[in-house]
Amino acid sequence: MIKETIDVSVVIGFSNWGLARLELAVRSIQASFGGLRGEVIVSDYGSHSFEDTRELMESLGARYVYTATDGTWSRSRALNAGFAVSSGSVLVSTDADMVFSPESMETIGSWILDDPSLCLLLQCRDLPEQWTDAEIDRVGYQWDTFERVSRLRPRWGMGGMMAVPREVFMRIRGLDERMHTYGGEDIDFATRAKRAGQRLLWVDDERVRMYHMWHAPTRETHSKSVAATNAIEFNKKIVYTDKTFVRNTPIWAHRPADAGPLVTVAISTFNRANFLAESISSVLCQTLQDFEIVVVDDGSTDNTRQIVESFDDRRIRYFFQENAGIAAARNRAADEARGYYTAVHDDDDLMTPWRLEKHFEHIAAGTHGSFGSFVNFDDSTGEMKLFASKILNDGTIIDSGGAPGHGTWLVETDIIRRLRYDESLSSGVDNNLALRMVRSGVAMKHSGEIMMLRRVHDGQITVSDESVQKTSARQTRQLFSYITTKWGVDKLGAERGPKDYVPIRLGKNLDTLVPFLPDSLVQRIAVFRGSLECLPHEVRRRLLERCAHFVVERQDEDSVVRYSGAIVGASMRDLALLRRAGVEFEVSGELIGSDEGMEESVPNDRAAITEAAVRQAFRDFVEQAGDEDYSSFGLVRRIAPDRKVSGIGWTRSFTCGDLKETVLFLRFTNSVEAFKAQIENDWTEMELLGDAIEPASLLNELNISRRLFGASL
Amino acid sequence: MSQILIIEENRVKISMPDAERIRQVSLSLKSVTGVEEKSVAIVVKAWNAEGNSVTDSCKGVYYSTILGEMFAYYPGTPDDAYSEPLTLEFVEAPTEVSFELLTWPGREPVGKAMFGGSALFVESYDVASKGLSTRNRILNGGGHKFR
Repeated sequence: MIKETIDVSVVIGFSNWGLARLELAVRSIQASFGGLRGEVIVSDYGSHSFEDTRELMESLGARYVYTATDGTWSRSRALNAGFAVSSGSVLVSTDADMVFSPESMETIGSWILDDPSLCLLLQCRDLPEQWTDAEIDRVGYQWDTFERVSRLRPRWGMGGMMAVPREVFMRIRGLDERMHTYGGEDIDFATRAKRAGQRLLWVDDERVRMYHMWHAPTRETHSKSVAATNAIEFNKKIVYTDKTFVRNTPIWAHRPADAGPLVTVAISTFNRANFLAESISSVLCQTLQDFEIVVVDDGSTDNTRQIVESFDDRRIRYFFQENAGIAAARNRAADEARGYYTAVHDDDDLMTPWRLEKHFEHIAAGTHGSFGSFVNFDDSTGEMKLFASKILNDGTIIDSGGAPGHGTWLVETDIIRRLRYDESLSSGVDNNLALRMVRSGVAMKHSGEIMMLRRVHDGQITVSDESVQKTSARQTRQLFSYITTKWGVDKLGAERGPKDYVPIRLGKNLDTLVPFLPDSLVQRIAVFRGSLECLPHEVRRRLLERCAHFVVERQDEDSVVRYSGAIVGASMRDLALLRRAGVEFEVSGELIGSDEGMEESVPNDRAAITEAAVRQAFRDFVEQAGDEDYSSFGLVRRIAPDRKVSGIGWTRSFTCGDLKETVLFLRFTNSVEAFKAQIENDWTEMELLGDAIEPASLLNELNISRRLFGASL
Repeated sequence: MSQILIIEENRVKISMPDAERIRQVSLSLKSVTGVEEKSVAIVVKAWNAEGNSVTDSCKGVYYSTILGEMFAYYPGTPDDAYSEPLTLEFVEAPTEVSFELLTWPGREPVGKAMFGGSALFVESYDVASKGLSTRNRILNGGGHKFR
């Protein structure tokens, strides 16, 4: 493996900024690895012309990775794209306008290799105006002079370099890809590393110097544009208000190939093949898809294995063992887990689709996991009842020895591996573990979410083995024998806090959960929009055949951009396929036998369906193409299919059955330019968004142009 | 997709999709020729989604007892230029609006394909949005394909 041969990977985010500066940065880093094995990766995020950059980097022995973009710069995504192809044990980010002194990377790398609890940061030193890249290129790196004339940048921030162990980068899922342009992404990352347990250290060592080559400031240019100002404000909001440390959920776009799953969903099962398929499907329907499913079959004699294998999904791993009991099966799942977190899931229950994503909104500094409440549903009628979980601490758990619903837990896998389920118990192993976790100082945050739909049926352990469960709870409660002293009781009371419960989202609106009940109870309609290209052809064909209607959106009459459609009677497996394909969808549902006419709510007018698809695509275009230079957007209708545009927009065709329309999505600097383009091109109908439309003013402008340039306008 | 803009000789008709209603139309014409000393009137008609006339409540049109129609004054067009826009506001939000160019006196159709050189600015709203979602279209008579 290459991974074993690289100590330090340094990633530089880059886009159209001149090769001389980049070359100086790369050369200085390459010369500073010393005895360590290092690699420099230049992550080119959307340069217009990149062949020269590629050639130069390859000639220098640096790695080069290019990401096509819509023109939007994002330092976060650029760096993540570089780290995605990296293999170093230590990951370092920096910029294309920094040069490093000769021992820098060797020192930085060694410190982290020696102490993986560190997250290193380095404040840059600004070189004065005469030290441009051209000057440094002319006279070479003058380290003594640089040290004498440079000035430590007087800013409280990350400063331009950040280094962490690879494992930490993976655990907190890289830089936050929501962040636009630049500003705040490095302080956000370092703060998250700190929340995850790293020690932040600003390097103050004369062997490590990072000098900023002088160039005209870009910040002012960026700040003047509306789009960049908004982006920076958006970044600030994340830095100021988002207290979580695991990010890029539900989607980590630039995910390294060696990144393990974020979550292991642990399912222990025994002769429940009839329920297991839906239990697994509910996991596959999660909005967060960064998981694996470990199914431990505790000696089933039914067709459990066939059910698991029928999913044909590499994220599902199946382990069979001779029947050894629930605790042993759960411990086996923890031992086999690859995910940093484990979500406990029972073989007869269903996850609500937001469960995994919501867990991570509540895991912050000092929190080892999170949980929520659950809803019991009657397996034959669908009747639902909310069970609100108390917050979890030794004060709340002591009352009954009962813990929050086990099937709502997500906790660091390592905690389960170390504390383990008590294999001497036949039931109540979850409560027992919860007590020992709390006693060990494990902090689990209540999410306030309904995380699980718990199936009430005749074969439940809590039905068939209720007395054993109660005994188990009583036994585990005895672990807290110190409550027999007054001091102990007072302590628990003080720690318990004033409120045991938190508000439950959707708790008073359980009807919204109906679409997520089992297939046997509910009829669903799934309305989706997105590319299905990653699905195998045959699977995609079958899925589309199940649609009441669908629209195919193509680019330039050629490649499929996306599908949008509605599946009436969508099964959980259909929903899982849509989720796997990464498409957006909304699902509605009603209990079978109810009087509401769901099918009537699905539009069947192809013109209206196509119109909705065109308008949604136009909104996408405006969102992507708008910036400070373009503020007027045209949707041109009724054009010949062969009309193409370049530079100013997209040509799209929409097909729904035998109905087809080609449209143009265009961007203009203002509405006058749009109007002139319409007249010049003889477009009959154009809808305009953005700038105000003032007919008198537009006509006047057109008349002036005609006087100046003749009747071509 | 059906056309929103339909031009027939001296008549132009705007026919919106089912889910939209017209708030306002501004009409501009290029040079009107062949009228000579006669005046020109624009007969306006508007219908709601049920097919009923809602022309009476339109702001900017007037009833002519001689014509027996609601009409708007022709704005006049200089040579080879677009006229000042004639703007009509519709209180009862029609789905269809038509304009017909007639000489006055005489009530004769004006020219042929008169609206081929027109520009219409149509402000409408989406019914589902209860009037909140406004759409602005420019319809170019010059780009109209006569079918």
